[in-house]
Amino acid sequence: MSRAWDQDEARIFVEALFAKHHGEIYAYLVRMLRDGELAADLTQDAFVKAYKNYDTLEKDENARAWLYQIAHRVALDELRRRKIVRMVPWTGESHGAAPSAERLAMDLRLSGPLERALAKIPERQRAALLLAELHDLTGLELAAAMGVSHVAARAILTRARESLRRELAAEKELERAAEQDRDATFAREARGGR
Amino acid sequence: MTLPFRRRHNDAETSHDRARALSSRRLLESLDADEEAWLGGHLETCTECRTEDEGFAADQALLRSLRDKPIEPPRDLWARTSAALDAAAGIRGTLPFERAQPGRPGGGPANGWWRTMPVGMAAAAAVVLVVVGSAVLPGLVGRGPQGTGLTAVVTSAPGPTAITVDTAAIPAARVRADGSIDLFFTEVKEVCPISRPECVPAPSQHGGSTLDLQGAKASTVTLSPSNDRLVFESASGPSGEGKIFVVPLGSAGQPSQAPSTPGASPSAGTNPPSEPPVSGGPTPEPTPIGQIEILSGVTVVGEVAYSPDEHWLAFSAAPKDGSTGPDLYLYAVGGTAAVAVTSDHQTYFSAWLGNRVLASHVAAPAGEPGAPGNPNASKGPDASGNGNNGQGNNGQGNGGQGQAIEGRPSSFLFDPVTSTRTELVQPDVWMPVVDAHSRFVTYWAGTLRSTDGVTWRLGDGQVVLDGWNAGATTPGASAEAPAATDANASPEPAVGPAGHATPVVDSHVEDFRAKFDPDGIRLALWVSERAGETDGRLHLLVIDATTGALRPDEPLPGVPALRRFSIDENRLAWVSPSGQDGHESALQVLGWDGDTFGQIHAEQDANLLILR
Repeated sequence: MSRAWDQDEARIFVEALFAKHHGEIYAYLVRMLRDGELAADLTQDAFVKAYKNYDTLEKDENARAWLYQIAHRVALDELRRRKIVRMVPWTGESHGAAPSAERLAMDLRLSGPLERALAKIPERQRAALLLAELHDLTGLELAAAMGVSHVAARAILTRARESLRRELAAEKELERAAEQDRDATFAREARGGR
Repeated sequence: MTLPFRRRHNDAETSHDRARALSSRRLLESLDADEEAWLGGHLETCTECRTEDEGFAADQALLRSLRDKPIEPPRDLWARTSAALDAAAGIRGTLPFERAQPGRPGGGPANGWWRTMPVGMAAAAAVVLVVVGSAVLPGLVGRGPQGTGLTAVVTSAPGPTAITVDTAAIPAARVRADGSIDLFFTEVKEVCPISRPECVPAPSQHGGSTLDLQGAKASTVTLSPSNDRLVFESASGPSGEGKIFVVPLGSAGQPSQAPSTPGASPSAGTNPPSEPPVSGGPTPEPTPIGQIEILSGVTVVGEVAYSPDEHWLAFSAAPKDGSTGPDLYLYAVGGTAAVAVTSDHQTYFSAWLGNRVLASHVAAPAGEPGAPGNPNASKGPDASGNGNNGQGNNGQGNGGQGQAIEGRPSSFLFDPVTSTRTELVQPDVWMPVVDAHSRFVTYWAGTLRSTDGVTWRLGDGQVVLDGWNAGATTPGASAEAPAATDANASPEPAVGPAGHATPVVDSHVEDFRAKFDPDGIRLALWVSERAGETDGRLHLLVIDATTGALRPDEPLPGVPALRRFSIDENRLAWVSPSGQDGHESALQVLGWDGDTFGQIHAEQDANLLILR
């Protein structure tokens, strides 16, 4: 049963929610979007949505999964919006064409083979893996956060694990090839330096 | 995306599909007994599914390793969110100023976890900190380019109680665009639980002065322990490059009286200084801004550090023209010039141990470039001469390809008072750092690698923690020992690591820097996985003083940090690289009171520099 929306109560509730969970929500959004500044904006949006929709939360004990559900939707909306934006023909204007230093630095932090593999798998699968393995959501919480049934959440997670395995194998192959290139270059330089 | 051979779920599921689904599911939640038994039986007979099962588990561990790369939210996130909530309140409810204060009595229903939080957590007392230049920071002269009117508005969100700590002040500087620096000290008295770095306002600063160090190489700017002298290498500007200066800081911008001289002049050593450090020598002639040039034609390699008694300054430096590798230099405070105390061109300053120098030497195999006497030796110090990398162009990824030379490091203690050199007994000890109580040492245990015999990178080995054998005499006692007459003489037997080395870094290491806290049980370790980078990760490890073992929990498990950091009484300070969470560089502090640790963001600016 939903509660009535009361401004003061909603504000106190969201402030407490923020104090407890803003770090993990921000981290989840960073890993989903690979953009720290955007993740900060969306974290803010998620808590504002939580505030506005406080009356839709049925039980306080579900607050964390409910907040993840909001954050998950916010992230998917953003990713969907990006896809639409990418379809718009380029008109010659350079809005955001050059990545910022901050963006580059964040990319670097998220640029290990695992992160790259994660970035390549479908968004819902990526979300399932992050929520289950990094954010410790239970099966039921995962289902709630993703807005699907418990059975569907398990299935998404299984597909996510399969996708990740495949992409990790591809990343390792790429790394192996790059390492061979580096070694060959170093050997050439060493011979040339004598 | 699905595998090509994979069937859709809810179609007639094959036993392999079912096994895969259960393998995945049991990593999320427990299976019932029947499912567990079925899966176990299937895995016994199906190699492919068993491989898949093991792969899922390995990937889970890999995913969870991402927890070691914490992602911290921007410090202004609450301020932004709070403002957005206020705006939202204006839309959905009453205006923000009409809203009753959170946490007021009777402000909400009686149950729910968030309502049971302590009053201090729920009370969102809006603390607005407005810092406007030096007006409210007496003694702080000028700000950085972006800081000429720094206005920080920090609204404190409800949060846990701050942790009170008694820390040593942090000397740091902002480097201005014109090359001058604003010196300041940060006093941290309270830190916040790690998850809530904004629970208290930013700590105060004091004691600033502005120094014109035009052309200084930032990585070499070092403050003395008494905060009365600054050392730097000029890299450009009117002073010209390749000169090392000492600037007295008696009063802001003015040269001070020459300090008292060391108690004894260096005695004849194995490699007597060409110009002995002066004891009671003439008062140096300061430049108009008080600078004393102590060396020229060189570039600093690695760190510059004063001895604990502040009588000496040590560093390694190589000729600016790149003709050789570095030698160890010492400068007697109050003297006129720094002098080389080695001449092998392969010696790197590591750290002070008491008032003796710990340094490392690398030897190439006979006949190789870089080996003593080899005419092909070295064209220049390359990356090791950039003053940014005490280990040279470190690296271990080559795997011995091509014509790489393997170098064998060794380390020694040098007493500047007696010129006594004491070799450490163990081989392959590189850049050792010993705690102030001489109980523990950390170092690179392994080889080095080079292609030219001058620029050395980490080879095969690892960063380790070991016990420390101080030898027959304590470090301080060596000053009274007779002067050595042979470079390889070891009047103190068995000085060095105890031989119980424990690796402290799992990941690949290209460069590292280590320092102990004054208690000698907390080890700050900066590690970079890429050669020549100033960005790396900073760890704080805690040692069990009784067993010498590392405690399993790391108070600081590898945060992004620039190479220079400072560890002192009850705190570790570092500068986070720009771009972290979309912010400029920031001065970060981890403080502790015994085993209770907390963190705080102390300052944010584009060009921050820790000075000691």
